[in-house]
Parts: sequence; C-alpha cells; structure tokens
Amino acid sequence: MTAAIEARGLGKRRGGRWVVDDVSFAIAPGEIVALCGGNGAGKSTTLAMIAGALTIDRGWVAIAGATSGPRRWVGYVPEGADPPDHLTAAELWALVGGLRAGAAMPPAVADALALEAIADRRLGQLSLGQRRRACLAAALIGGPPALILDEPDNGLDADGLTALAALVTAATAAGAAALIATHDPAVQDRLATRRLVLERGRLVG
Amino acid sequence: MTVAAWTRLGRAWLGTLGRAALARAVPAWAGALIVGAAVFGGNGLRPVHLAAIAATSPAVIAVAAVGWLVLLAPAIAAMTAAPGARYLRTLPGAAVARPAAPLAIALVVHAPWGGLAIATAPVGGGLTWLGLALASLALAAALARLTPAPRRPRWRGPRAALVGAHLRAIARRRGGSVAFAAGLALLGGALGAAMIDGEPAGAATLAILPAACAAAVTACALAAIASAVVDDRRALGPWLAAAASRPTSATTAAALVIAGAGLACAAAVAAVVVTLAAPSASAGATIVGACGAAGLGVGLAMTGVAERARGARRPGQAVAAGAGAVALLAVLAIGLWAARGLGVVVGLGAAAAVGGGRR
Repeated sequence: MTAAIEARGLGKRRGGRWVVDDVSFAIAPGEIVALCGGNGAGKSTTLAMIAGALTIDRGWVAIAGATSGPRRWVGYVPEGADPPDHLTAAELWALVGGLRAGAAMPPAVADALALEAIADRRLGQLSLGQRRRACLAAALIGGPPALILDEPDNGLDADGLTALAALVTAATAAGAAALIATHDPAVQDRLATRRLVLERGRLVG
Repeated sequence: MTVAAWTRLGRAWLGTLGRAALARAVPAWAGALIVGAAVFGGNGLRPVHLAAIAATSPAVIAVAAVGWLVLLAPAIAAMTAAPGARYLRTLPGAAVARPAAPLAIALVVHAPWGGLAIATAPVGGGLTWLGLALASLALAAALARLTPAPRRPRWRGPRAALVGAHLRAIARRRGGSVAFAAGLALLGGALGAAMIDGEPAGAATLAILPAACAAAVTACALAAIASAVVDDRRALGPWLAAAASRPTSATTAAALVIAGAGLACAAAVAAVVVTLAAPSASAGATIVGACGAAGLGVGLAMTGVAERARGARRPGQAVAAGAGAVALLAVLAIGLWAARGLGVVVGLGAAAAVGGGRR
C-alpha cells in the first residue's frame, strides 16, 4: 500500500549545520503520528519541509506517492498560526478552497469548531485559539490525503481540543494520514497511534 | 492638569499623529509643487487667472479639488492608524486632544490650499478655494472613517483566489497608496495636457508625450501596489505551498492585479489629458491607446520586478528601485522610438513578467 506521507533522508541546513538530518519515516493512510521532541529539535522545520513551505536541502518527500505537482497537496497548520491578518476567516477559507479547485468547507467542520462566530472577523483581530481554529478548518477543506499539524492544540480551549480530536479522527477514518507536532503528552496519548521522537534534528525513536 | 502637562501631552499627540501624516503628505506637496511650477512658471499663469477659472469653470475646480483630496487622503488616514495613537487615547486630556490634534494636523496638511486661498484673496477667488479646502478636509476625514463590511467570497480556482486576496491586501493594508496613485494619475494627466498644449493636430508628439507621462506616473504609482502584492505572497506562502499550486497561477494572479492597476492608472491619465486638452476624436483615441499600451507595459514590467523582489532581503526597497528603473527605461524607450518604443515597453514588460515568474 502506498504511504500517505513518506520522507526519505530529509535534511535542512542552516548556518552551516544540519538542523534536520537524515530523517526517514512512512505514515500509512488512517494513521495519526505524533512528532515529539524538545524546543529546537527540528519538528517545525520537518513539518514545513513536508508541507512544501520550506525547501528541502537533502532527501525527498512523497504525499500519496506524489513527490511534486498538484497531487502533492496537504492540509497544513503552520507553526505560530500567523495567517495573513488582512483577511477575514471566511476569506482565508475561500482562498484555500480556491487553491484546491473550489472546494468548500465541510459543514461538520464549521459546526465542530464553532466557526460562524469568527467567520467575518479579520484574522489579525482573533485570539491565538481562534486563529488556530480558523487554520485547522482551512487545513481540512477539500479532504486532504495528509494533515500536517504543527502544534494545533496551542491556545485551544477544552471545547477546541475535543473538536480537534474529533475532526482529526474523522479525517483519518476517511483515509487521510496525520502528522502532529505537539508538546502536550495528553494530546499525544489521546490522538496518536504512533510516536516519532526528534532530537537535535535526528530521529531517535 | 498643569500647563506643562498640557504642553507635553500636546507635543506627544502632534508628534505621534503629525509624523505619520507628514510622511504621507510631503510627497503630495512635492508633486503639487512640481505641477505648480509647470503651470505658473512655463505658462505664465497668475493667481488672477486662477480666480477667473474658479469663477467660470466648475469642472477644473472639481478636478483640482478631487486631485488634492485623493493626494492627501493617505495623510489623513495615516493619523487614524498611527502607531501609539491608541495608547494616547487612554491618557488624561484625550477628550480635548483627540479631536483637536487631528484637526490641527489636517490644517497643516492642507496648508497649500490655504496658501492658494490667501494668494487669490485680493482678486476675489479666495473664498471659493478656502471653501474647497474645508470641504475636501471634511470629505477626507469622512473617507478615513469609512470601513466597508466584509463579504464572504467564493473563489473557484487558484488565480481567482489569489487575485481576491491580493486586492484585499492592497485595499486594507495600502488603501492610502491607491488614493495616492489616483492623485498621481490626475497630476500626470494635467502635466500631459500641459505638455501637448499648442501642439498641432496630427503631430506624432500628441500621443507620445502623454504616453511617456503615463509610463512615468504608472511606474511610481505601482511601486506601493506591487510591494503590497509581494508582502501578500510572502504571507500566503505556507498556504500556497500546502496547496501545491502551480507557480504560474501565482504569477498570473500578480500580473492581473499589478498590470490591471497599471492599465487603470494609465487610463486615468489619458482621461484627464483628453478632458483638459480636448483634442479631436481621432487624436483622443490615439492618446488613450498610447497611454493604455504604456500602462500595460509598465504594469507587466512591475510584475517582473515584484516576482524578483520576493526573494530580496528588503523587498520594499527592491520594488522601489525597480519602479525607478522601469520608469526611466520606459520614458527613454518612448522618447527615443515613439510608437515603436511603446511596443518595446510592452514586449520587454511581458518578458520581465514571464522571466520573474520562472524564478
């Protein structure tokens, strides 16, 4: 079976040293994998390379078997959740939907994340947790084959965490794979079927 | 509060809001000075003539008033969004300072209108100009407070989505620059009309001089707009990457926005030239066509500049430098080769846009 997310020999060089070095793993459809590690371990860099937001200095990434082109698209919640602050949340979803050939927001996502209340507000005026909800909703538009979530629980309240767990579980049940970076052991225990541990840019477990 | 405290408070308000407003107003004053020098110097126009115009030609007054309004709208708008203004509103004395400081600064910003009123007072036109100054001040303040309610869009493809996002970035982050571009277009049109004043009908320069004017004005006007598109592309980077959208879609969207703005700016220049110079119908059509070609070529070239600036350490400076180079080259090409020069500008602009998109 083709892996939903596959990385081989992944490397990123910054300031003369490899901040991510020879990272290889494969995630099957339906799996939820937690990417763990301390601050500066290389989690966000690894996720950004897999999402295509950072260039890869060594190795390669395949999403559902595709290493490039339109088939290699993912649902991505970037680190820091700093979406373009001049757009409203509804405009961010329309933008992502447009980039994915006119896909619309699934109603279940809008309900679970209580998006109606924030839809017409500028992203720059939302709280961290609300921006996280907006970005998570954007990542789920169009039913991506892979979810790359960088600390999606950061700033979420209890309802938000419950919705996050339900939506990620539903997406993987529908055949997607999820790779989630998080510091929270409770989120790891609640969601992940497997863990990958990064230390100084290398996979150690 | 003591007198010293009021003085310090007034200095803080004027410093905070004044710096933001003057940064936007000074370029407008400089532009007005250049046009003023051309109008009063070259043509020997005197205040008495202006008073006569004010009395007989409402269209000219309207163009002047709207031009001055759009040129200074960014300065007025900058006061409402000045860094630190929100904090100042929490300080004691804000109830007095909040309306007084913007009014004082707005009066300074509108000083050239006041100067015109004083200059024309002895010959009877002063009250008209003063009335226009106050009306434009009130309108600028009203425009600055105007915030349209957001609508929920539905974009069907990557190009439409990116064009929509870029247009919102320009309107919401650089709204003042759009007004400034409109003001520049009006001034450029007035200058173009003055340049062809007295040219014989059918002369080749009748369309070429306004086209050169349109090229220079459009390049300057597009600097801020292209810069907003560059900033937006960088902000949208993670979402574009995750969607694995084709780079050509993003370049096409940037070209639609920047070259579209270039065409609009050049069309505004042509409209003002045709309105003020009142040439024959065929000459008017030639002027519109030549200005349109210049605007399109410059817009495409600025798309190339924007695409290249995305990777620069200081993208804003790279775009500004690129705009200067585009303006110079376009004016040179049109000046040297006339109609063929317009073709060169469009051709090189398209090549720059395509080349920039491949980077």
